[in-house]
Amino acid sequence: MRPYLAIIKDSFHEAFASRVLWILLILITLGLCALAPLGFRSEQLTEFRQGDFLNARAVAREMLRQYEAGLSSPGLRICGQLPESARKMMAEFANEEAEGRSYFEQLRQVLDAWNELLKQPDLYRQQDWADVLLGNEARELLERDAAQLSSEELARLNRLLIQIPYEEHFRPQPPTQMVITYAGAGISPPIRISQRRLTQIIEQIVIPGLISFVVGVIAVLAAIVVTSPIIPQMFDPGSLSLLLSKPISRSLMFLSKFLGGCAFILINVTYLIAGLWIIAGLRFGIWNHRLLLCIPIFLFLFVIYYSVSAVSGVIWRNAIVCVVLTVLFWFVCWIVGVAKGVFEQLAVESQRIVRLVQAGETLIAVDEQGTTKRWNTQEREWEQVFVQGEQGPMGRLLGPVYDTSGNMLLAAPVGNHGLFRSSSTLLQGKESDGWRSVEGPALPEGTFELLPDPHGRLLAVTTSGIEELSGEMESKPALQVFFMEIPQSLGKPFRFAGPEPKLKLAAPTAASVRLPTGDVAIYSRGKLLVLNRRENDYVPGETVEVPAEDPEQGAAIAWGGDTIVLALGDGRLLTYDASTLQLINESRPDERSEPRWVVASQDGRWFATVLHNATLYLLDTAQGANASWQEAEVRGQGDISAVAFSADGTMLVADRAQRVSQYQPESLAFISSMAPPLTGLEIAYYYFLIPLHAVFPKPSELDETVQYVLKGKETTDLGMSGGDLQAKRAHWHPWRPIRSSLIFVLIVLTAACVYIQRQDF
Amino acid sequence: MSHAPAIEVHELHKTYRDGLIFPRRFHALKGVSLQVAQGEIFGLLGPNGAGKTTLVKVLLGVVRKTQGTAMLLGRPAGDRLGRRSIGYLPENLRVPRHLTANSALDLYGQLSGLSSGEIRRRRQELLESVDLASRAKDSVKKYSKGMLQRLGLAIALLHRPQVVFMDEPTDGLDPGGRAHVRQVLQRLKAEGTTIFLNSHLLQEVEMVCDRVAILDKGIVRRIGTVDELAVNQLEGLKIRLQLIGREADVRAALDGRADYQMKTLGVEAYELTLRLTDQAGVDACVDSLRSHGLSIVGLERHRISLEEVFLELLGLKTDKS
Repeated sequence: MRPYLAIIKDSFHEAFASRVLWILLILITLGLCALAPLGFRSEQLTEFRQGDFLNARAVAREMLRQYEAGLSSPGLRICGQLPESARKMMAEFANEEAEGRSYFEQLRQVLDAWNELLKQPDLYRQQDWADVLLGNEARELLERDAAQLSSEELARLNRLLIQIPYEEHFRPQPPTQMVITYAGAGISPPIRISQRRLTQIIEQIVIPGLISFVVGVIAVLAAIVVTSPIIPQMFDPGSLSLLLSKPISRSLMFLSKFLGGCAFILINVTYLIAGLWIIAGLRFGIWNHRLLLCIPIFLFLFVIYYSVSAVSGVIWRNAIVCVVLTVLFWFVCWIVGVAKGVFEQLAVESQRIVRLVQAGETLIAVDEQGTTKRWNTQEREWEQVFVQGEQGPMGRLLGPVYDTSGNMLLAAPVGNHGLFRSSSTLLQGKESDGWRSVEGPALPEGTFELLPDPHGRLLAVTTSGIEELSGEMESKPALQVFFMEIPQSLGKPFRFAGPEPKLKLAAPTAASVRLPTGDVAIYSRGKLLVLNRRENDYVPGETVEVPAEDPEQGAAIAWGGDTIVLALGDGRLLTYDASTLQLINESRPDERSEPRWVVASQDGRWFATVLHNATLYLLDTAQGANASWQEAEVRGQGDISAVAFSADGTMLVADRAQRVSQYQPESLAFISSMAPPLTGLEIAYYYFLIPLHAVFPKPSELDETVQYVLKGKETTDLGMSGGDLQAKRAHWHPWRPIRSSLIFVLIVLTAACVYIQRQDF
Repeated sequence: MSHAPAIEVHELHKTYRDGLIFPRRFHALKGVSLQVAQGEIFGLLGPNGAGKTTLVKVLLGVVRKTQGTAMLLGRPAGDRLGRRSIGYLPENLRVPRHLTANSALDLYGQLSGLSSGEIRRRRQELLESVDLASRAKDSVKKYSKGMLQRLGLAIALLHRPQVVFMDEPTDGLDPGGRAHVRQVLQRLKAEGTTIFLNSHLLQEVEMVCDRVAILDKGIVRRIGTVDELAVNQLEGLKIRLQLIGREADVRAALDGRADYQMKTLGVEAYELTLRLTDQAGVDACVDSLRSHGLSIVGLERHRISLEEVFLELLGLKTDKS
């Protein structure tokens, strides 16, 4: 080994003797020094802003109602402290249905008035907040002498005093806001996310992006140029004969030279990533040791390109040819990746079925865009019916729910982050009308789930409780606010069905109904509760705390028979006894991902979950205490996007974008398949691009490996889902680029070794 | 040390192919056979394109033979173990520019299988022997061609090889440096090292080589000591005589021989140059001249140079001939 180690060692000497290395190291040092002063500071959330509210009008209305009642209440005190003009303005804002610019203008003026109150040292009067549960933070501030509070603490206290009584109309907000700083000076407006979320974004988006660009592009390109002469120089007649006359293997000599060439990038990458790791740790408190694992990944990225450069050097012995061919290879890899991505989006992802609903005899599917389709058994194809989805990644379709009494579908498209999520319009489509979509009434405020009731009608689960669709559905034209439409109803088609007192559920939320009893299970920010149906109303049932590290993580819930399964964003699946809410089982079927959907069979025996990495797991509750989640042996594992149980007890599984297969859940025996013929795009994708992509090296996809290494999971929402577990997540394939690229590198290097071994020099 | 010849080549052929689809063939070696004994300094001569470098590369294992046998110290040429005992000084040696003399010796010493300790022990002595000790820590970027050549010699000798191949070892050296290299070669010979010298400097080869082979168009045209080559090639001795007497007597004495040249030096004074097979022929010639009354005022036996042999053999004329 000594001779080969000597060659590698010499390569390090050569790298250190290179001026380019030192220039790059200086540039990296300058870059790191420029980044080092970056930081953030946490400020208490005080000032009211438009985005803080789910419904600011409702807050104003409620305050004024209390004020006019004249009884001790937060509204009496708050409005009492406002000048007359401000109260008048609030009243106009609360009662008038202003549109567009005037709505926002009024809101701004109301918020200005409320923000003025934040400075008031004596806003709190015990009798006015006597009936309000103020919470630990407000209580701790109140226990201190008001004179001792800093202006920021006083403003925070007053904000809490104004917000807490009307909490249900506010968006859930962290108690602090973040300001990005540079050398201590703020360089960004306050960002209303928690420190935890900010560090997640830095860790999952900013750092990988920075490393991918600086190391994956700039450093690798520089290294390709700098190392390109190493192999051609080896073939210089004046030095090659001397090397070949030594008692060493030609192949190993070449491989040692190759490894030695990697020394250059190793030095640069190690310095840069270690520097970033230290800055992220010292300045942002992110001591993610996994960041250091990016060093071998980027070294491998360079190895892929350098293998092409090296084999070109062996054959043509010219550094310029090496650089040109390597850049050409880079370009071809990029083209293949882009082509695959474009075809995937056009032919597959936009069509991918994510929900299945049995509507009588008709199977309805919802795709990733929120478009609903009907399976046409004669034509054997999916026909677009009911909703033409345009939700995109920021939207979601509530439902569809099949209303058996009216033989129609009900659904509501909502935006995840929009101001008016609570004001969506309910859409209805009757089978007799060819499932054509007709606008119905506005959804109740704070609706986050649509469920069927025992009579086949609709339940809207809101942040206050259950609203039942009882009246006739009618609507009036939507209210035009600026460039948005606020739907509104004339009548009252929804009836509040309990519980009393009203709930104050905080996002993230999820709900499921047990049929035929109609009991509803709700998850809300670390709490699981059951609402039992008594006659036509709901009364509170059992409640249990769900311990979770991240209270903002999303959840999904399924209730079947006597079992409730709660799926959490951290990947856990919790099984509860429905009557006692006693935890029966906690498991995490796949450490690499987290559940997206969880469904139950109507008899409550079977539960199925589809993870974000497109694998399907089944739970058979008939096995009692021994029941555990098992990866289902069905076709398409790794490409499964939806699962449902039909009324006859069979299981429907969607894979390969648009193919739905029917299985017998107990034996997993295949029954039938609903798969439309492939389109030209799909044929090109499945039979040309996929095989080409599979065998091609994928250096650009090593970003996915980096993401996986940093997060330790194959799927991530990149902090964009807003706690919605059902929102599509990025699915990394960390080993795919490693596998194909490693095979490529081995083939290329083997070919180079064979060539060198057989060639006369 | 085995008693096998240092180098043994028999009916060695090498054919190069060029081009993938319609390969062209070039026969660089056409049945070369030679032997070099251990401890011998052997010179290989030949014009450009004769196949000298190919023969050396086959022996070093850099190029694969097409046919025949090539053995080095009893092992097949190119064998990795055999290469442990080989030192090589290539023509136009290029040492990587980031190295110093010390680090170059470290690198190539380790490539030859030496430990760092062994290299450190040998390094100083070798650098002194090639007069580079004072520049040992300087980057080779600052070296002259002659210094690089001397460093190459040190690299070739670092691991105490039994056989050293040298390609133009005195190239780029000044006369003093050349003399120094010759001393090194003689010292190596005294130590029993076999040296295979590939050089264009015929005088040097003549001065240091025990035996010489002349290679032309892939064929060994002559092989032997310089003297043997001269005799074999020119078939006799060349003598020069200064005579006093009549021209007619001179011609009569030579008795109709055609292979002589006669130059008039003055009145009845001539210089006669002629080739004779051996000393008996010289004696007979002197007797004949004397019997014709000619006075012999000078007789000079001319030694035939290797260059003359070389040029004559390759069909090239020299001024001297």
